[in-house]
Amino acid sequence: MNTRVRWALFVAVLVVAAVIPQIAATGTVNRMSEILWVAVAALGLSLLTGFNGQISLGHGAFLGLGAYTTMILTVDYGVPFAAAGLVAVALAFVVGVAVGLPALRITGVYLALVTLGLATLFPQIVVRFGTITGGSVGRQLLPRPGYGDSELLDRIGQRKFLGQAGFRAPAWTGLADDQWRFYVFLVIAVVAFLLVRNLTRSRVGRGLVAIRDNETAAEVAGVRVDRYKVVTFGLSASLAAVGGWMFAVLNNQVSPTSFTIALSITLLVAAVLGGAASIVGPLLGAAIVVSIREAVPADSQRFSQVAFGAVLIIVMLVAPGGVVGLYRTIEARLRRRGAGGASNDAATSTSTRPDVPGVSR
Amino acid sequence: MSLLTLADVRAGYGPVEVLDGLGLRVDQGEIVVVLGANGAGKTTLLRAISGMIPLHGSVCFDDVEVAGRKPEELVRMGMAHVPQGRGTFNDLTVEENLQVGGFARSADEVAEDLDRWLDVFPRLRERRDQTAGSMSGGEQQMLAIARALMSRPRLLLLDEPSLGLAPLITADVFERIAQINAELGMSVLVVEQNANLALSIAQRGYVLETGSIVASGSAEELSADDAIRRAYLGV
Amino acid sequence: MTVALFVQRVFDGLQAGAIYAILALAIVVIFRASGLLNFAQGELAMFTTFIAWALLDSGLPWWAATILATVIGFGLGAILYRLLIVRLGGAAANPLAIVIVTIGLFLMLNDGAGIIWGSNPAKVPRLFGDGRVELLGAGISVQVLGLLGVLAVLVIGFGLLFQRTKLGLALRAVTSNPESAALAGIKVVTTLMIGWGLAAAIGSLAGTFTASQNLSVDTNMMQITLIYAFAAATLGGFDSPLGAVIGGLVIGLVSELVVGYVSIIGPDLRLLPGFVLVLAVLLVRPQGLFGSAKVARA
Ligand SMILES: Nc1ncnc2c1ncn2[C@@H]1O[C@H](COP(=O)(O)OP(=O)(O)OP(=O)(O)O)[C@@H](O)[C@H]1O
Ligand SMILES: [Mg+2]
Repeated sequence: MNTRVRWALFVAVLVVAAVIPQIAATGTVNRMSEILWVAVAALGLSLLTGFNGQISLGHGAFLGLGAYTTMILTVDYGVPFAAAGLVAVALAFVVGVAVGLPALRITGVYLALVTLGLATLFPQIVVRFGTITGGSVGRQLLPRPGYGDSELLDRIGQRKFLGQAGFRAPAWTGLADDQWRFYVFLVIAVVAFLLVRNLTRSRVGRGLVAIRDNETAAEVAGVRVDRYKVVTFGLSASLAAVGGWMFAVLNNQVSPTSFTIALSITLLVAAVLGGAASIVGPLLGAAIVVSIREAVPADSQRFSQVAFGAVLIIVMLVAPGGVVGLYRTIEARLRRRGAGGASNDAATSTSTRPDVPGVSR
Repeated sequence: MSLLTLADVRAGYGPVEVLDGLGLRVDQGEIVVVLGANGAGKTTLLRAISGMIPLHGSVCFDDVEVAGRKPEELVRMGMAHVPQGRGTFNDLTVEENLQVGGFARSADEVAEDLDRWLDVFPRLRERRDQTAGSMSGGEQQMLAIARALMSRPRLLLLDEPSLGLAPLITADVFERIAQINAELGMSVLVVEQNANLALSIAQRGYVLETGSIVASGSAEELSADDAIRRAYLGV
Repeated sequence: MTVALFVQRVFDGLQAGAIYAILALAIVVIFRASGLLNFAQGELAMFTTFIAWALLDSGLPWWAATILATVIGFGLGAILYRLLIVRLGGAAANPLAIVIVTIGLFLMLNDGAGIIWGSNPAKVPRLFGDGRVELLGAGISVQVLGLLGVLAVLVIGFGLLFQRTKLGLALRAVTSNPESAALAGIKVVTTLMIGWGLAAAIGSLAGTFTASQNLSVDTNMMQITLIYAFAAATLGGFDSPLGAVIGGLVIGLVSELVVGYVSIIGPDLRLLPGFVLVLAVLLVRPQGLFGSAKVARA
């Protein structure tokens, strides 16, 4: 696909995405919102794993961090959602860097192991600090005792908390809550995807890939390996936290059971299935994962989990590039066949134009 | 009588073809050297013969067509390969390395041969319980050869035994190879870049350039050839 | 703080630690044989424990069920290596790919077991009975002593296997240099199948003991244990069976004592001491306490 076709497709998808909430039922809109939060978090994982070669089995923890931060700040302290989101992202960045620092010395499988530990530890930490997090029950749109009431907020000079109401559509929009939420998610997702796309195509992005492919060579070539890796870890955690913010906003509740290893693995499935070293991959992966979950009856979710496990294995064995990688291979093959045919009958034609196959990696 | 015969052998790595329809022969009891520059395909040739990479064409060992057989089968048929860079088991002790070398043989034979090669290579006896990784390059080369000999091969494939060794040590290695060849009548196919010593112990030789044999002859003929002298003897 | 309570906690810690040690042993066997980590090791153990339970349920005596399940575990491990890991390139595979594939297996086994046997924990008897031995005022269950005994047998067995047998030599040769091993006549794939099979068989024992300690078997029972086992292997060194066992016991002890005596951490954060220990080890001495330095670079 050349660039023009890509952009056309991008705009078309956006238009369709923008129209659907106007005609679809609330359930469908919420499902699409779910795809978006999974996609944004998987994008973070894809940036880390696909482009930089650092694996994380613990991104569910960063997502949980974002979700809990959002819930607690908005419900207990009346912090506006946007501000809570910024705090969540900053916090996740800091924690991500803190995890990324030892990751400099812990490579490959060891990193997988430490992050797996993190994923397992997260629910325990939540339960341990139950007075704030609500323990194993979790939090709903209900302030904890002594917080979130207007008296406390009046005293510290803040407006009446809006947590109880959740994330509502402003009156001027004339939209229903689910529609408004979806449009906000859509904007966030578009921004996140464009940012990551530009990042990966910049000089920095080439540095990230160089590190993934051969760390020593990258170092020799002047890439500041340590700094790149740590910052990538931080950014990746931030994206997961954005997904967590979206989770909290969509579900209006958080509990430790939502952020277990299973979530980390789901994110991995979405990233790997779509194609970890690509930009649209995580979105495709998220769409497939959420759709399969939706299609399978609630009492048979174990079957979809087994299917996801099989998908991880089959993708790695058959098409390590995921859906996007598969598409690129097919496209390249078609192009080669096309080019071969053209050069047969027209040696003088301009078909030798270097059409940079698979511009993106 | 011919022990190993290659005919029209093509092999490489994935889409890259390195060996380009190559033929050669090693007779019973003979030392044959294949000379070639860096990247000529010497290592690829030996890897193809010992079954480490797939090949097209014919490899006849001991009158049996062996193309496509696995290394572990070929060892049992009497072929031993000392890979480039020696391929010792660095975490294992010297003695264990030798035991692994005799893996396809019975315990009694292993015990007997172990003693014998430790006699031939006294340095290895001294370092019997030391790990291979902690030994010098020359010692490792000796160990690698002794390990290959533990399988009682009829054909020994040697990949650049001189690599990374001081000239004096190299000379020692080659001398021992000639000695073992003379005593056991074991055939040797050695690939080398450093032709001086190799030609001095070999009966015949081939010259390999970018995957094809471009010259062959007796060791004397090759040593006398001007072009070969310039290219491989550094004269 | 009473002596009896302390002794009690020490033995509780050793009991948990012995199970971590057994699973860590499985992890180390695979790491030694193929330089890889199997993230599905715990789920594999859970799965074969369910098999043991099903056999028990069908009327087999417990020891026969355990042995049969262990043998089945061996087969599963070997097949897993042959069908999946070899196709990914074995030891030469991209470690990321192995992590992802074994995580896929993790999912399939976990939810597969849930589908086959249901999510509700099934009851399991104590393997060594309910007896207790009095020691310094604390009642030590026979279960702990039996478990420590099994662990000791495993360690000695493994030492002998690796150091004294031809199979052990082959396993170590393949680990050290797969290409040269093949050139020496070792059937590399078969050897590694045996290695992975052995690991799964040992893991299966860890599963059985976990179940007999919890008095139940359920699909999630090995997840935390796996983390602890990884911690044990990290602490002891991924290529040292003895290290893994000591690591397992240390992690079990430290967790129990910290949780018991440090109230800030408490039972909720049971995993934290082990996690911190592992992080510290990886940062300060990546090869572990008993591992060889080579592993650190791997
Ligand atoms: N694993 C591999 N994958 C792809 N190409 C390879 C591989 N190994 C070798 N080659 C290529 O095959 C060609 C021949 O390599 P080979 O190792 O056989 O050369 P050589 O004669 O042994 O050289 P040297 O004296 O440096 O050892 C080279 O061009 C090399 O780049
Ligand atoms: Mg070579």
